[in-house]
Amino acid sequence: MTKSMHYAIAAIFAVSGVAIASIGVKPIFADLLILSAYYLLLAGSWNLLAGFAGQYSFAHVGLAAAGAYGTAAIVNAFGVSGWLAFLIIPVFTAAIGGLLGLVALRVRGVQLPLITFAFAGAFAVFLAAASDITGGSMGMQLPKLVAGFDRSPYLILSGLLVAAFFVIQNLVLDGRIGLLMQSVRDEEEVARGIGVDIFRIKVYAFMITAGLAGLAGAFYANYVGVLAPSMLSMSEMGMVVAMAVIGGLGHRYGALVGVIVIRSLEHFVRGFGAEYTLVIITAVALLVVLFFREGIIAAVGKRLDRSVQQRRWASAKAS
Amino acid sequence: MSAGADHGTKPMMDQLIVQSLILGLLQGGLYALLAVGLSLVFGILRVVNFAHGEFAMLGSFAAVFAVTSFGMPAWAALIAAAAAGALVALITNVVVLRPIYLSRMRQKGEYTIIATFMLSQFLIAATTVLFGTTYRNLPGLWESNLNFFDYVYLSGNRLVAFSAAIVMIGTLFWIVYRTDTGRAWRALTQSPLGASVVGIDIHKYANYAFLVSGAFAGLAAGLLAPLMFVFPSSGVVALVKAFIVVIIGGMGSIGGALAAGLLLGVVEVMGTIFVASGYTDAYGFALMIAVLLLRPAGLFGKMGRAI
Amino acid sequence: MSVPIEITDLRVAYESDVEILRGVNLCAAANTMTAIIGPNGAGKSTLLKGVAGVAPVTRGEVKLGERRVEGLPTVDLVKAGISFVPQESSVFGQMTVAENLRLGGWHRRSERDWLNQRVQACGALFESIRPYLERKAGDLSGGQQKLVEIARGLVGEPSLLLLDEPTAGLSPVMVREVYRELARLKERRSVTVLLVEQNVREALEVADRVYVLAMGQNDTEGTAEDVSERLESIVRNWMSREGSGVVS
Repeated sequence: MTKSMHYAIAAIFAVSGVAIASIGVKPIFADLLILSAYYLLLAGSWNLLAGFAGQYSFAHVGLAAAGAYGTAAIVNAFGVSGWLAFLIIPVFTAAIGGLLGLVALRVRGVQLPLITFAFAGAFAVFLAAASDITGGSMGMQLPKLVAGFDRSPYLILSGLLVAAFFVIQNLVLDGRIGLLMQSVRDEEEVARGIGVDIFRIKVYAFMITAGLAGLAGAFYANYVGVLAPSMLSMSEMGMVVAMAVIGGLGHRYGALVGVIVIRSLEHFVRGFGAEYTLVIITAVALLVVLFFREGIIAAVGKRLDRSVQQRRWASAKAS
Repeated sequence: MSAGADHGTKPMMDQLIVQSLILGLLQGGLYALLAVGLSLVFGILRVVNFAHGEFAMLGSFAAVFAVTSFGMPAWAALIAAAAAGALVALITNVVVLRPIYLSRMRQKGEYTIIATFMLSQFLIAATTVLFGTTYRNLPGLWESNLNFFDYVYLSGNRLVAFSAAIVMIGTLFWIVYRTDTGRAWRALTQSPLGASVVGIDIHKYANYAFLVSGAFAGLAAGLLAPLMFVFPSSGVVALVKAFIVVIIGGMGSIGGALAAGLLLGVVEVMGTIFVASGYTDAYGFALMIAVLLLRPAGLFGKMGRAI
Repeated sequence: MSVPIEITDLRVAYESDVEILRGVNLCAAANTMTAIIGPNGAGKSTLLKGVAGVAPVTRGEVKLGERRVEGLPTVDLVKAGISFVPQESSVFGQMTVAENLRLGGWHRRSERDWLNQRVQACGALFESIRPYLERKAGDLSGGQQKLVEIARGLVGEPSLLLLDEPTAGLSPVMVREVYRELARLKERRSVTVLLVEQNVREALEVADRVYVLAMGQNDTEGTAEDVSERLESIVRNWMSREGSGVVS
């Protein structure tokens, strides 16, 4: 695909958000779409961090939670408008992400997933225990961004956020930093040897993706209005990883495909109850991980290639 | 402040410290038992097993059902826990991990993390569907409260659990340093290439390592069950503890896991009693960060290479 | 007891499906010493790794005596009598030299007396490590570690010994020790040896036959005397190829 096509895809999302909002959909679909945007931001930025930069962090949902609680905190404490949070919070979480990046620089290879996993665990404990600030497991409330029950502003916002995500992703991947990120992922020592500034690249990768996670968190807080520590339970992180992996880790539209697959799956099997939904989704994700290691996009692509080749063969024989 | 009051509080303080030190060590023994298998498997295969917590969780469920459904005695329940953990671990290695490290893909280490993480999510979800989210309890082996020197209070269950943990880790040390299996493990840990050229069967000894790893995790969970609760996502907390222990103790080090486990137990209990309760699980994280900043390879990093 | 080895059209490719070894043929009679030489990237090490089961063989045959052995797991290859001493470090650093040697006889570990005697014998092969049998292998110098690996490779009384640049990075004294042992092995005629070497002259002195590889394929071959005589033109040939911009 050409560069302009990648931007066209971003534009399509921006337009379709407005279109869907103006046509109007059932509230249940609106909810599905709006929260899918949240997941796309998370899974997409995690894909950028893990799939492209090779930094497997399990603190990503934790960063979104930090963004969400941060939003609630500034709205409640300083009376700032929720809209302003979309600007402030990404900067705040990017700073936390930068710190994680510094940690990632100190450790080798597999230690990073362990440390970030422990960080997420400790952060969840902290949110639940610091109940005087966070409301503990009872939750933390904040006023709605738009009064009333009309979901159309959120639908428009969802489209814009997804578009913004793809624009940022395009800028990163098509720019120098994207190439350097991938060189760090593939051959860190070689990259260091040829003078790639590993320090900057890692910190940037963490900051950019953490900023996106914070954006997702701010959106979530403003939309849902009640925050509970369950927001950063490991099963949420599992969802995000599953989405990125199902589509294809390290593929530009991997997270998009993953979000579509999992969210539709969630929608269609929801009748069985939440527990069964989770079993089905995790089972599908596990099967993809075991049998289609490069994800659905690559698997379908290979099959298409093969059938195209076969057709060429057939036509060559016929002529 | 009167001299009398001072006399009164100081021994009290000492007693509290002794009591919490003992409690912490007892708890820490179980953390070590939980983490040591994770460390063993990492040393041999360079695989961080994110499903390790679920070996423990399934072990504790096996113990509960052994007692409640089959009416087995408490000691038999522990054997059931170890057996269940070992079985799940073996299946994990053969079905999930072996195809990955036999493949020619890049970034195998990272991919095993993704695969075991997804497996862990699936096991939690499946257990939830099968058994529900009820918090279950398990009777211990020695249901009595003991009292030493008038001021040290301990439950018998804790003492049993700690002793069992120490015996098991001792046994593991014996296996590692005195048997052919241990020699093969050490060889694989120190040089995978060397192990391969002298003809050590990595699949066989990886299976053994997973059996031990799962059995220890299951047993640890079975021993912890009378002190805590049994529920499907209990493995997540267990995994966080185990990660903290292996990072502090050095990845791949058994001695390091033992020392770090005990340290973690003491720090948690001390923090809970002397700083603030409710944050128990966060003290370990703080300890881990401190260790990482001071000694990134872990407190026992050098020993780490020896298993 | 030793065996002939016959390699036919051996191909090796790693993850990217780019063949590093592109069809190599090699024949060595039992109890002979064959040197394999060639420029960097010729596939010499990969050839040994393919035979030893450490690198993935994608096509071709390796016959050890009458037995096809390509693609077998290393465990079975070691049992079949193949011993591989790789170029990369492979000592068990936290174990003593004696423990390292003992692991060299892993596949026959139940034969205690035989193993003890082999460990003693192989521990005495090289003066530079003889005094240090109870030291941790990781505490020895790089050269000494290499000698430990070579000795470890001999403990199991292999019928086919694969040595990948055994003298790379060794001090002159140790290089002499290695070649003295190779000469001894040749004299005793008890093992077939494939020796990959950068030190072409030393290798030619001990070898019976020489194979020259270039760019993953056979370049030329002959008796040691024959290749010695033609050496200059062979090397000039490498140079011209590298000069021609062909990436090796």
